[in-house]
Amino acid sequence: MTTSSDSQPMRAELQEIVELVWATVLGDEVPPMESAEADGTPESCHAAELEIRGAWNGVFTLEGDCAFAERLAAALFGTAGSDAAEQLEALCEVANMLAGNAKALLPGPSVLGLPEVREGAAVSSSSTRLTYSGSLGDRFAVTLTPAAGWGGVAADTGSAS
Amino acid sequence: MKKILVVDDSSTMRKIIRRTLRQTGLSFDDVLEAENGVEALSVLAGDPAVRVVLSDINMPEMNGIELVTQLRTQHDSSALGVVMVTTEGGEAMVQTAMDRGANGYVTKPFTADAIKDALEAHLG
Repeated sequence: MTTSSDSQPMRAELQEIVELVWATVLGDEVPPMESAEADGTPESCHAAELEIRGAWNGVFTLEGDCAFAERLAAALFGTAGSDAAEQLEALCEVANMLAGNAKALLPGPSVLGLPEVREGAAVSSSSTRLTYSGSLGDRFAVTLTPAAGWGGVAADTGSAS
Repeated sequence: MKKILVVDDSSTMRKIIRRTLRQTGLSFDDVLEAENGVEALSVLAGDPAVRVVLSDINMPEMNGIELVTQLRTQHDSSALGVVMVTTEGGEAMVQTAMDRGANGYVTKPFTADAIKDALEAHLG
């Protein structure tokens, strides 16, 4: 995958969305990791994916390690010691928030699908991907990947590669 | 009696909203839930104590825009507050909801203060 910001359209906008959601949900600041240290995928415990269909086609994925999933569930439900089902619920809900806000930046009209649990993100050369390390050492990544033939994710290009 | 109806197809989000409502400090007697617009209309028909509806937009069966449209055109709902709660942050969606009769709009992720500001006038 490519990690430089120049080759990842909408990276700054996606980063703003992640920071907004994290500040609101977790009360945490999450600067993205530098590309060198963010190489590869976080040891994925859970991943949630949502399809975007319409004037722009592709998928949004949120994936994280188990510490991240536990922390998310605790923040959303206000209880510690969540089980796997609660962690998945929390991950899907936050993925829905992130994807919904990202969709507003993409060409429209389009429809956001329901969150589905995945093994991990499908990353391609045209993906925009941000990897984070939370304040407790938990790791997660967000990925916006256009469907094949849809080129990058820049809101103003609209051209297939 | 002052009741709030939360309409969202995600049980997780309904739980989060319930928890957030407790954090607002607002005074209300009960929180009711519905999974979509059809269920919401049924709940509202059976409980006149609902003062305000907090509704998602993107839902199966009947979405939030259709719900507010039906409430404002086919029911006596002038005293009922309708606040949209959704990830759909686009200006067009906001405008459509307001044009159809929504009283307010909160975008996810929301804070307890944002929910409080949106509901306060309807629970006074």
